[in-house]
Amino acid sequence: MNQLRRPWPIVIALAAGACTHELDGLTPSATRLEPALVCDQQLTTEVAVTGEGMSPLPVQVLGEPAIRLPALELQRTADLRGAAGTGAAPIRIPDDGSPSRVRWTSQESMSFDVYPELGLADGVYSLTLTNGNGNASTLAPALSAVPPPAVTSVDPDLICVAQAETTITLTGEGFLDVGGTLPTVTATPDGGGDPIELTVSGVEDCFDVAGPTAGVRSCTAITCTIPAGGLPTSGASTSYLLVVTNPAPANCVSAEPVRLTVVPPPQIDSVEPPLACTDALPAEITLTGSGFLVIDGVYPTVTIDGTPVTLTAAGGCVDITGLAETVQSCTSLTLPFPASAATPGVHTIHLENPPPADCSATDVTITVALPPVITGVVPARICSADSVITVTGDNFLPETTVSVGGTAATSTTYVSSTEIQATIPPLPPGVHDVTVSNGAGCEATLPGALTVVENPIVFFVDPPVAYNGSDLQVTVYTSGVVGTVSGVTIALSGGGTPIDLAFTFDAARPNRILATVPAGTPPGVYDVSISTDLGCSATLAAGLTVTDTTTLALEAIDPPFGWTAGATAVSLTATDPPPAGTVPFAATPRAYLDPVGTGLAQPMRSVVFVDAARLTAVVPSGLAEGTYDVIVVNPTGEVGVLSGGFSVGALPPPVIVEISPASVVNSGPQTVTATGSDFRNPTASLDCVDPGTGAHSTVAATVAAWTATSVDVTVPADTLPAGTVCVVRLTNDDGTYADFSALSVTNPAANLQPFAPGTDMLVARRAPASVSGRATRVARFVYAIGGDDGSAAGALSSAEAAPVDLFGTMGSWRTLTYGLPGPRTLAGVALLGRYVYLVGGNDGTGPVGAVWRAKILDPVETPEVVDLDLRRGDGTTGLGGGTWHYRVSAVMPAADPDNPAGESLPSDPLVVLVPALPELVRLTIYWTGVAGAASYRIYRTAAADDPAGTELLLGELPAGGALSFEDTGLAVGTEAPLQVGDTGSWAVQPALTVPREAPGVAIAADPTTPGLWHLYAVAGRGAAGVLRTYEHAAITVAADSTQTLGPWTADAANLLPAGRSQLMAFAVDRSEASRVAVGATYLYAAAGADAAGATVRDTNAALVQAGGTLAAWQVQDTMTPGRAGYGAAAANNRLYVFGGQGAAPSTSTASAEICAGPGGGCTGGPPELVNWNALGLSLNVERYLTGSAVESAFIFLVGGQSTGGVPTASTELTVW
Amino acid sequence: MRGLLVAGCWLLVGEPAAQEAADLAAPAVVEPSDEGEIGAEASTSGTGLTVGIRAQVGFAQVFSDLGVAPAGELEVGYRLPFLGRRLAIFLAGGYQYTYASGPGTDERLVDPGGAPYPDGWTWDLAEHAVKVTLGFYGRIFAEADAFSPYLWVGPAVYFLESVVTGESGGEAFGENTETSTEFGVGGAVGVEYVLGPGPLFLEVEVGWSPLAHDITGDSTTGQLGLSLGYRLWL
Repeated sequence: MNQLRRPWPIVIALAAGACTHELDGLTPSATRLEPALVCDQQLTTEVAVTGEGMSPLPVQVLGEPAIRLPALELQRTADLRGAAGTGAAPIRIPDDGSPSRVRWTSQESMSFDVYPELGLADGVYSLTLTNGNGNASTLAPALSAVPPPAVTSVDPDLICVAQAETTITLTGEGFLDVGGTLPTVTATPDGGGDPIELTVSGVEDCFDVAGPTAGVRSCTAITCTIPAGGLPTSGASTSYLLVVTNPAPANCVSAEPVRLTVVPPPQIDSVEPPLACTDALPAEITLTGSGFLVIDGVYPTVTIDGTPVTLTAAGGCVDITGLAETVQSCTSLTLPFPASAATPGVHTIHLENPPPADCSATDVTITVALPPVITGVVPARICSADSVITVTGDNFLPETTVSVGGTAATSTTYVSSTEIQATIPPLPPGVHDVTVSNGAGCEATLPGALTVVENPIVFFVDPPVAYNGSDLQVTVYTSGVVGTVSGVTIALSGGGTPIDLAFTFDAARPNRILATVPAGTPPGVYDVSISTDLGCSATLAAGLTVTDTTTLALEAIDPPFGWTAGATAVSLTATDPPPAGTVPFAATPRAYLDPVGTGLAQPMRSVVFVDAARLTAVVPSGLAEGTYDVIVVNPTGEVGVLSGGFSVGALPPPVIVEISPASVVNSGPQTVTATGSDFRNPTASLDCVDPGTGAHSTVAATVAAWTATSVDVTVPADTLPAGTVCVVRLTNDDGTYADFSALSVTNPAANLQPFAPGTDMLVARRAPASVSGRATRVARFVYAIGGDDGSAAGALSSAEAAPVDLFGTMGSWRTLTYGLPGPRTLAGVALLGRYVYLVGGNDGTGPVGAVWRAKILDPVETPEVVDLDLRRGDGTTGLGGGTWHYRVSAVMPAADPDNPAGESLPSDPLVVLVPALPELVRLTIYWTGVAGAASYRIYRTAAADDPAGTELLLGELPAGGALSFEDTGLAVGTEAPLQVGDTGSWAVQPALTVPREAPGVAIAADPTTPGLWHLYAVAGRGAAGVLRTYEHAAITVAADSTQTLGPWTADAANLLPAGRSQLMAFAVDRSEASRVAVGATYLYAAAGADAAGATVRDTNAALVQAGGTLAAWQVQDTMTPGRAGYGAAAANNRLYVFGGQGAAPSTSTASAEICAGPGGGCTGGPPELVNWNALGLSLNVERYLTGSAVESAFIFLVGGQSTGGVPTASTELTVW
Repeated sequence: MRGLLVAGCWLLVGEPAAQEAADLAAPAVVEPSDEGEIGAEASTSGTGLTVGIRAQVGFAQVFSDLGVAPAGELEVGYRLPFLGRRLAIFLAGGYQYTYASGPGTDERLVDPGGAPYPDGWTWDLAEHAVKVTLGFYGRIFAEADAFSPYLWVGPAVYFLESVVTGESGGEAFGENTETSTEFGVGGAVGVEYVLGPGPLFLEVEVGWSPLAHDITGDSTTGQLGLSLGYRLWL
């Protein structure tokens, strides 16, 4: 710190220095600069100044303190060769910029920058150093400043360096040699890439650089050596930018665009021809490749076997620019085929480019050969997949190629001059020529030497899901199998071990293989593969799923038995709702019977998805006697099993055709008689539904007596409340049983149960004809046919039907496909078996005598789709991948007596899983015909994966040709196939002898001739008024259950006492009245309306006689009050009538009892009636001209004219 | 500025100034004051010459960034022989010293590795001044009175020297010195009390001159001083 240390000397000094203003301090001196050689351009070089006394001066310390650094000035004193300088102005190094170009470290050390903007000229400089106090000193020479190197040319500028070391010389100036350290040279490819440093082997034409640094030379030439491969190339040439960098510390770089072009060696890719045949030598040889240089018109040098050949042309040439020479790089050269190479053998071709890029190509050869000969091809037939053939002959070479039908072999293997093997790629099926070639014009062909057969495909396994609890036969659908199938395997998808399946293959049906999936197969998804004796193979990935999990809530099969010689209709039920973890049925499952123990599971037929809880199906005949597991497989893969759930016996199971009476009173035990067949020491039971709770209960019954065709059953009716509905079961001693629906229980007065509403029809109908019929034993329907809209003039031609279950529950109505041939109302109707007879009526203009008949179609009488075939499409037409459903129905000819020009029910659906192929798939189905069919209709789902049951018309084929149809992906129409419950078309039957509107119509068995029945038309309104007559026509039932209606016979001698229409005729035998003698049938003609519409209350009865003629009409108890147009039923020894009181809409009901014998108001037995009394229950809806039908114990009332005269669509039902 | 300095120098060292000083010192007879009865020991019967000495503590920070400045001064004067020697002229010369220091930053000061010294740089300034003052003095009461307030005022010449050192990163800059001469002014008010052959006095003085060195920048030597001294009346 400064102190008050010298006051008096200062005083003296001040006194002495008065009138002066002086600044003083240290004097600087520089001893050397480092580096003392710099490049005056491009670079910023920090130069260190070493010396002493370099003193920064603090200034403005009482204001803004700052530092005044020692100032540095460079003064050019000489040029680089040492000649004296020109007196240029000194250059001060600025110290006030940012960053500062001057830096102070200590009194002994400073530094400064030499940079391009400083503007130093080339030459030698002194350095003057001045402290802030003004004291200064100079160092000379202090610094040499040199320019960057400059390149003006390179020689040669075109090289090929791939095969030998190459030397190039760069010419220019300013190439420095600093104490023996030479510049570096880099080559950077145009277009990007890392620079490559070349080896500098020396500099030339140099002078010593003046200045403080000794041993520095500046030169004008550099020599570089490039090792072989030192500069890579791509394409025809690669241009490199050459850059010279001087050694440090003056390490500036050259900036001139001097380039070196490097070309690759020539490369011969092919020789054309590579092989020449001695009998067809080519005139020229063409070498194709790259890098063939033509430099200033000089071609490459080519020799064959060492003999120079003069080139005649070059092709595919492109210019290489930027060179001193005219250079082209070509891709082909043409030379004449020399005579010296005409001998068989291999000849070597050598090519070398002209200098300075005189690299050589790898030698190639050309073979001169003898022409080949083919003597045979083995095997002569292959699969269209990759196959290996062996060609035998002579003059084969390793270069020999093989082609089949113009398609080159994938590869060839030369075995010997007489044998060659070739791998043939997939080829189109057919006969192909085999060609071997030793070169162009050196070929041999064996025509038709090889036959290619199509590789088969596996496209579907049916069923696609198999339960591994049994041996299950699956059908493997294939296409294109030629020869014999040699193996069928399954393997878990993803690489499982193949499992060989037992299979059968019928060459006559080559598109179907029946294979057995053995029980115990591990669950999983399997690929299914086949192989043929031709070595063809095909695999359907994930084509089969094997499951061991039973998650389908299969509950029961009913009946649980069948017999070996007959088909059995069954229903299968699922628990509803399904328990947790299980699923119900999904449309449409497959059902099988799997024999317990060993044996194949057998599929059921006609599996119909009713709903998620119920299926119907048919067990085919021909099953072996034994016990079977019932297996149901959903299309979605869930499986349900009923172990031992079905048995097949040698004897037929019992059949209950009818029960008489079908209703019993609940006063004491009651006996009913079941008639049918195949009763064998039966027991009886009832499944009864309580009318109050709807609960089911099993009620024991007693068999009082039995024969093979009749069983008397004592029912404990007194334990059952009135209104109970029971299904009667008779169980043979072998466990087979028959059910009959239904037996109803009434009170002692035989009163009916209150009517319950049914489902509404789709169309309100007055005076419809209504019957109940069965498509199968368990598929029951109520039909409403014709009628009118409130007046006869509005007669309808449509018909509709609703299903009814065993306990009378109605389903929804649907319009039947086939309506009546014309409008019809007020017709009589009767049902016999499957045939519905519509008699008389009014066509809208007046009474008619026409009789029409329709058959309730049998689900068994359909085509059966038995096979299918598949072939690949053309990519534009065909089916896409997915599940498709097909059905086929038969269309009968117009003359068909049962279904004229009508269609049958469709076949069971054929579910086809079509593989997804780019070419799409064309699928052909085959079916068995229906006798007498005129044509067949094919239905298909509209789109892949649409559900079953949505099939629409795809096409129609006439019968007489092949029963097959190819689906090329056609669009479906709008027509759907018929459904179970549909009738066929209506057939015109022999007409009545006179028109009859609203007659009484009934069918009665001939008392003496089995299979002979009689259709009656009683009274009605004729053209001239109400009629008193009746007429009848015979119905002959053939062994195949077909029926023939004979001509009508009028009985003019047996007239009703009073004519009437809108009456009901009852054919009453023991089915309806136990009091009627066995074999007897009485025909009742109940009340009706006269010509004026007033009621005629007469009830008459007549015995049906052999041949159909009625005994004389007897007058029975008069119906009071009078009725017409009522519904009716005969049951339980009674005649019931519903509505129509006073020939008007009403809800009243009444019945009359068929007398058992004298007493109780009766004078005798049947057909005497007694006591037309009200039933004590009312209809839910007022009805007049209603339709009525009886299905076992159920009575249905359908439509009619209701309150206000308006037709109603309502229905109602009761049990009797 | 330089012209003024030269003029200043001439006034101080030239002949006219010396003659004038001699003239001021010449009167040998001092007439008694009409009011000389004040102060029993004070008398106007002396030569009228005065020799004084003072010690001073100056506070330069009143005018600049300089700090406390100790100073000492000798004076020679002549009490004019009228008005009871209430008036006098004197010539005083003295020395004063001030000091300042501070930091700075400058990225041009780098360590051997080229990085700026992290603590910047520091400087130390010693400011030396020799001051010669020609003062005109007057007191309220006659010399005969023992106690009297007084004041004086007059020009001054400053002989200045700035000495600066610095360092950065432990590397000394080296010492640099800058000298100059400046005109200034001075004045004071005080009280004196005759004690013995002269009065003891205490005064508050203001002195000022420019200070325009490269080292200091444009500043001033001005300070407010508190002086204690004694004058010997001869």
